[in-house]
Parts: sequence; C-alpha cells; structure tokens
Amino acid sequence: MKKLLEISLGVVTSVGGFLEVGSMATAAQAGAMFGFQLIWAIVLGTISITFLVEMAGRFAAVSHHTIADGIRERFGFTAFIWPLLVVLLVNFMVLSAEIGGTAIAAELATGIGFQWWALPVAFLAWLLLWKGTFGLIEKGVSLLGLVTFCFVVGAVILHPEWKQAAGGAVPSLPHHDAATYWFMAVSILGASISPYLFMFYSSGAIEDQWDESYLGANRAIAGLGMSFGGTIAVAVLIVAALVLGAHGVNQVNDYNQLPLMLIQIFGFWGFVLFVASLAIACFGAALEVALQQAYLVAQGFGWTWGENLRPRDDPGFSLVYTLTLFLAAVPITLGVDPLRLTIFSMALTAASLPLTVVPFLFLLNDERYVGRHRNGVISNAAVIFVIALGFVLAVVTFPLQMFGGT
Amino acid sequence: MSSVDWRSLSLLQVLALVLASCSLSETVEQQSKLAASTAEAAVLVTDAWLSGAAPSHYASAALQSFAGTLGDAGRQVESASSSDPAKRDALKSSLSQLSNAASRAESAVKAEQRAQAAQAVQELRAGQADLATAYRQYFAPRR
Repeated sequence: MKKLLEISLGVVTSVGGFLEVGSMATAAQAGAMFGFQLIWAIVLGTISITFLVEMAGRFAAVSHHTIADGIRERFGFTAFIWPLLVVLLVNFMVLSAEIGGTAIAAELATGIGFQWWALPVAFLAWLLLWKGTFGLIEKGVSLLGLVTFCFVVGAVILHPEWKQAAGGAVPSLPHHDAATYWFMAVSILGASISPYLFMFYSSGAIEDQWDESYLGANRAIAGLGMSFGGTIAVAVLIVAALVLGAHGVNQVNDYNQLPLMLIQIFGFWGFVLFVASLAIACFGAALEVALQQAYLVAQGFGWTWGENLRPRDDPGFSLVYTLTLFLAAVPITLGVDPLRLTIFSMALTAASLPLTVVPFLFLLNDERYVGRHRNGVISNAAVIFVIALGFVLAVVTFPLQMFGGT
Repeated sequence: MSSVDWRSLSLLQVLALVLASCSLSETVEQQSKLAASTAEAAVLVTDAWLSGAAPSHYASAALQSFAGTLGDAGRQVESASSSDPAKRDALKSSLSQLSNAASRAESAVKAEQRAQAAQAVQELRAGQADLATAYRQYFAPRR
C-alpha cells in the first residue's frame, strides 16, 4: 500500500514537473503555426525521455550512483569535464528562461515589468532551496504544477477532431515555412528530452534512498509520469492550434499572446489559470534546474551533497545553487526577452544531447554498476535511437536557428 | 581574360541582386504575416477586455507591445526597396493604420473607455482588410 502511494505520488510529481516554459512555449508556437502537424515531435520526445528517465532511475536504484557520478567514475574526470561544462551552460540558459517564465507570470498578474521580478523570483527560489527539504521541492511544488492539467480540460472542451489530432502523431512534411517547421520540431525535442530532467531524477532517487525494490515503482513512475506530462504538452499544442491558429494568430512571438489560449475558453478564469500554470510550472522547473546545477558540480568534484543536508554541512553544494540562481536572473533583469531565450535554449538543449546520452549506453550495460539489471535489446535500441537523433539535432540546430528561428 | 573577369563580375552582381531582392521580398512577406497575426491578437485582447475576461493592466501592456510590433513591421517594409514603390507604400500605410489602431485601443483600455475600445476594434478590423488587399496587390504577378 505504501509503495502504491509512493508510485501515485511519483507519477503526480512527474506530471507536475514535466511542463515548463520550454514545453509550453514550443508547443504553443507549433500549434499556432502548424496546427496538429507537430504532435509527433512531442510524442517522439516523450517516448525518448521516458526511456532515459527509467534508465536513470534504474541506474541510481541498483548502483547507488547518480548518472553524473557514474560518468565521472566510469570515464574519468577528464572525459567528464566536457559534458559537465556543456550541460552547465545549457542548464544555465534553461534556468534563465525558467526565471524569465516565472517573471512573465508575475508581470501578467501585477502589471509590473518582468525585469523587476527576476531577482525576487531568484531570491524566493534560493530561500526555498536553502530552507526546504528535497521532499518539499519535489512533491510540494510539483503537486501544485497539476494546475497545468487545465490545458487538457481546455482541449477537451474545444472538441478537436481527434482523428486529425491522432494523425499529427505521424511525422509529415511541412506545407509551408519548412525551416521554421523543422526548427520548431528541434525545439520541441529539446524541451522534451531535457538532460536536467533525467539527471535530476537520478539524483532524486539517491536523495529518496531508492534500492532494487524500487525498480517496479521506477518503471511505473517513468512510464506513467512522462506519458501524462507529454499529454499535457500535446493539450497545449491542441489548444494553441484551435484558439490561436484558428483565429489567425499564427506567429506567437510575444508572450502577451499566450494567455489568450485559455481566456478564449474559460474567460477571466482562463487568464488566472494561465498565469498560475506558467508561474508554478516555471518556478518548479527553476528549482529543479538550480538543484541540478549544484548536484552536477558537487558530484563532479566529489563534494558532499544533498538537499536534505543543512547548508553548513554541504557548503560547496549550497554555494553553487546560490550563485547559479542569482547569475541566471541577470539576463532577465537586463531585459532579455524570455520567450526568445526559451526557444533558443531549447534548441541548444537538443544540440547538446549526444554528450549526455552517449554515456547511458556504457553505464547501463556495465555489470559493475547495474549487475543483472542491464539494458535489454529494446532499451539499448532506444538509447541508440536517441543518440542518433541527438547527432542529427546537433548538426541541424544552428542552421535551422539561422533560417527558421523565431 | 579581361572579358572573363567582366563576365564573372556581372554574374556576381546579378546573383547579389537576385539574392537581395529575394531577401527583401521575404522581409516584406514575413513582416506582413507577422502584422496580420499581431493585429488579430490585438483584436482578441481588446474583445477579451471588453467582455471582462482580461484585466486592464494585461490588456494595455499587450496592446502597447502589439502596437510596437506593428510599427516595427511598417518601418521594415518602408525600408525595403521595391520595384513598385506605390504598392509598397500601400502596404506600409495599412501597417501604420494597424499600429495606430492598436495604440488607440491601448489608450482606451488605460482610460477604461469601452466605446473607444470598441471603435478601435473596428479600426483594427478595417486595417486587417486593407493589409490583406495591399498584400495581395504587392505579390500579384505582373502583367
């Protein structure tokens, strides 16, 4: 019974943690411009992240190592430093975008410009990390993130042509704006297959002291949690297609256009729901990414780490999330457009995928770490597919950014 | 040798001219599409404010931003050189009309003047129709 409760809670937290500014913005832009045609990118991204999250959890539960730990130990520090630097840089931009998303929500709620909110948001996040526990961060904020379920309700109310929506799950060639179409596909994949998500998940499994008895729970949480999260992202795309796209608002280049998605369905409450969804989803993601930065550096350098420890007991770990949070708030304070930063950082995330996913192939097949719980044929095929996809994305991202970036 | 140089030079010039004209017409097309989308968003926001579904601070900030985008689009179209300046000017004029209408909607929302906001929506609609006509004429094949 206790395990069932833990699984339910894990699924709920995965759902709450899935949607953030990247998946929301990319799905909204894609739906507004291309209707249901890019649903396949969300489906592909969700399947890929499900496999990676399951492997990250299995690796942590069996080996009692996080993925970052495993990479450093297995390949040595010299090999670890490159993915570390790239992931730190990408995470930094994603964190900045998440702080920007929360700041936009605060602007929408109050009318005070988003630039003024970046530092208070960073401070609030820091305070929660400094004073809170892992359970509070993981479950509290993610449970609140369930408010994003309003997009699913909205999509159902709009009565989409479900057959047509299902057709969008099959990749197809664009009928117009080809470069933008592929750039959007890359950005959606970057927003879905975020390295911080599976790396955070493996650190969380260690924080929650998982062992081999959690393997079933891990599979359920990864599968159901990511699927439900992906469903919410698809709902955002459907709502954007049926509200923004259908009205002719097909170039979403201004965050002020986004609340219209729910206003058209729920009236004033739609505005409230949108602001709450954006604020909670982005704030939750900001907490997770800031923690992930600290996990990465602390695990990379072999420092003591743990969100459940007091800051004086893991000073290096606490210093990293403190510095990261406040530095990431600077670009938003200086007026960088959060929406543009989001789309750019999602594309960069996609380009950095090979560096973070290639080690899975070695770690999850190394008996010294995972014993008899090694990857099977399907898991290995999934990793090879994601690696190949990652290489393609790494090659095409920057040309597409130049020709199709919004 | 010298004639070959001249030929490659003129080839390069023609290529540069073709690329420049492609990129200029692309600018005009992109800006027109962006303006049409932004104008529709301005209509939706003003309508939402009129029906009480959007708070004033959000509606006015959104309309101010949309007016800025429409103004920028007009300036970009104006700076694009065209073989038919009259058609380009018609496009530019419809974009200015839209930008002004969005600004008027913003002022009306700020002043809580519902009648003026409704009037601004009508102007936005008229501007959208003018933009569509100017766009069709700009990209109409020459006889």
